[in-house]
Amino acid sequence: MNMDQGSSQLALHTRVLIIAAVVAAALSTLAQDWRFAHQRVSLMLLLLALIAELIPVSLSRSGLRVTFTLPFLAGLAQVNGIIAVIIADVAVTLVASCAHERFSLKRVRWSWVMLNCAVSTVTVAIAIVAMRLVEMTTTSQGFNPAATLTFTVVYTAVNFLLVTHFYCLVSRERMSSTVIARLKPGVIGLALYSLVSLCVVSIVTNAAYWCLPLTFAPVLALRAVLRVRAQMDEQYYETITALNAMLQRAHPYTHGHLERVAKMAEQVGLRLGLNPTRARLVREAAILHDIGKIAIDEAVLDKPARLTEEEMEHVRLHPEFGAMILAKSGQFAPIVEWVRHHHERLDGSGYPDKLTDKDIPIESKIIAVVDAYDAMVGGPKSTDQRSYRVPLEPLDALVELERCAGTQFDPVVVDAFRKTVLHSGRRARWAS
Amino acid sequence: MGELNGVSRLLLSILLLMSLGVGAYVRWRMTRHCNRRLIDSLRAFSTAMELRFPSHRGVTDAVLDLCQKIAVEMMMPRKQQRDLEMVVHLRDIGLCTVPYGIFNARAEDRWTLSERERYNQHAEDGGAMLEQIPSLRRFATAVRCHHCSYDRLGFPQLRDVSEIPMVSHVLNVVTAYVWLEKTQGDLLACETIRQQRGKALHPVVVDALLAVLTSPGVSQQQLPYAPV
Repeated sequence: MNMDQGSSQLALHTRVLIIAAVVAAALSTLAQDWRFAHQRVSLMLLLLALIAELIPVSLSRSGLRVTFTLPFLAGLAQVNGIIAVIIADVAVTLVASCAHERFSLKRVRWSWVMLNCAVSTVTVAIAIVAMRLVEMTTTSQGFNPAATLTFTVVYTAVNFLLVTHFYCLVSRERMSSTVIARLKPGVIGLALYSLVSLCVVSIVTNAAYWCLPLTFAPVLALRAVLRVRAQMDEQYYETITALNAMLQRAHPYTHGHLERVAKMAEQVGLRLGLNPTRARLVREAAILHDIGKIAIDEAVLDKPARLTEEEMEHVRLHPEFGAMILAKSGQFAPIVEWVRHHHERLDGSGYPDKLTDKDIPIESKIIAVVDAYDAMVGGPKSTDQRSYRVPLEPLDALVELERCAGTQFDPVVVDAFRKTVLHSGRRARWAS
Repeated sequence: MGELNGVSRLLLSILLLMSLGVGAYVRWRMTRHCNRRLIDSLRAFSTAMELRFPSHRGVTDAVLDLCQKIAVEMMMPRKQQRDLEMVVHLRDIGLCTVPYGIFNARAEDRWTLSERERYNQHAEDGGAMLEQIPSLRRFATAVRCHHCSYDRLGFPQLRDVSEIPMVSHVLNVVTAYVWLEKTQGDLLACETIRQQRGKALHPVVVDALLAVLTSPGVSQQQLPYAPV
């Protein structure tokens, strides 16, 4: 899927969602559930929801923001009709967007705001319908934990699926792998949210609105945890970026090479059955697989003529150097061995440790195949070409890989790579 | 205005206690863990430069050890001590732009003028690289200035000595000492450092370094970098 196809799909899905939101709002109107009871409680909940919307946690790598309005929406849904809750959620989203526009340096994209409003409308409508169904089937008056939990779970699930769907459309990641990767933290967050929602709703049913601000404390605590986690993730990826930048300053040709190898290595890993988390680690290992070249003389790496034996020995140190660099940091521990062994061969003639088939990690085998292919084919720019070799055509490079399968490369990995390349439709030219 | 019933009170109490616990955990444990992870990951940079230029091997550990002792001696705030530790690992990130041959082909005293200028550029390059990375941006100035001398004759040239962060002054003094000790031995190194006090080297930092070196608990064997 190229950029144009991605953009048109995103626009189409956005329109569909907006239409769905309008329909949901219209149907809600038909239900004639216009209740706006307990004004003080409702206004307090609205205020708390707005404050929660104004202090999101940015997951800046993904462009997503996590807000904490759910418990207060659950409270609103307890005492008000569906229309009131939809209007409240949409209003909070719009007001917060205006506030961000005014106070932040980044300009708000109103198309995304419309999308968020549509997501809110559909999510609230479905969650309230589910909640009302549970209320009808249970006989408890006042505080109904089952109904509250239903609202919380359904809201979280629908919101999660819709946001993930649009995220995958923008980032062109697979929906299934993204859902699986985010499921565990999502479930933990849901458990905590449910507790806060139950507390808010139980306070609301007692009309003790003066206690509601106290429920902001767990929201702030949750937010603090998420912020630090997001910060740690951000630091991790920025360290990778910085190491990459360092390598590219020393060896400029590596830039496009590393990006291409990383992207393709992840896809090959998924095709071979690695779970999404592991495939993501393979991608990170692929970005850093040549970091050891920072300790290699660039004059040798860029030498157009054949290297002497001494020069070859010097170049062959780079996987070991790469492992030494990454081993210093505990968070790179999973990928150290993959980087170290990415030049091993099945027949034991590789380096640095002369490992054979069974001892070579599958991740190293993946990187080896993708690395070799990109070295043969190069990239679209002249700066992506190796100084010592004329680039091959993609099909010729695939033939060469298959020729070396069984000795240099793992045949299963070569096969998976071939299918990945052909599936991605990049026959004409290896393009990023 | 309503009153809370038993269930509400119980839920609210649990949540407030949880919030306190989580808040304390985030404030003391998670934040510390986050900082340690960052410092940990920054070791990769100093290791990369030491592998690129073997003459630098072991220098980072020596510089780090002395910097930590000086920071304690100068009673630096914890945050500044942490920043100093991070800048130690990042200080020579700009050396990746210096050609491999300059350092590894011949000794420093045999460099040509253009090679010397190329080397001097590394502090500025390092700062520029860090400016591109949001979580490391705050160290850009310190890295840029880690060879700035107190008398403004170092590199890069700055208008005012007050522009140089204290962390950079500490690095400048410690790095100078470590290299002098490597080439001339500890006695001459100390003497040179004393002579440059208030000239090329910040006087407060020099006093702290000399206090650390002459304190009874520190002996030659305890220094991580043994002179060649």
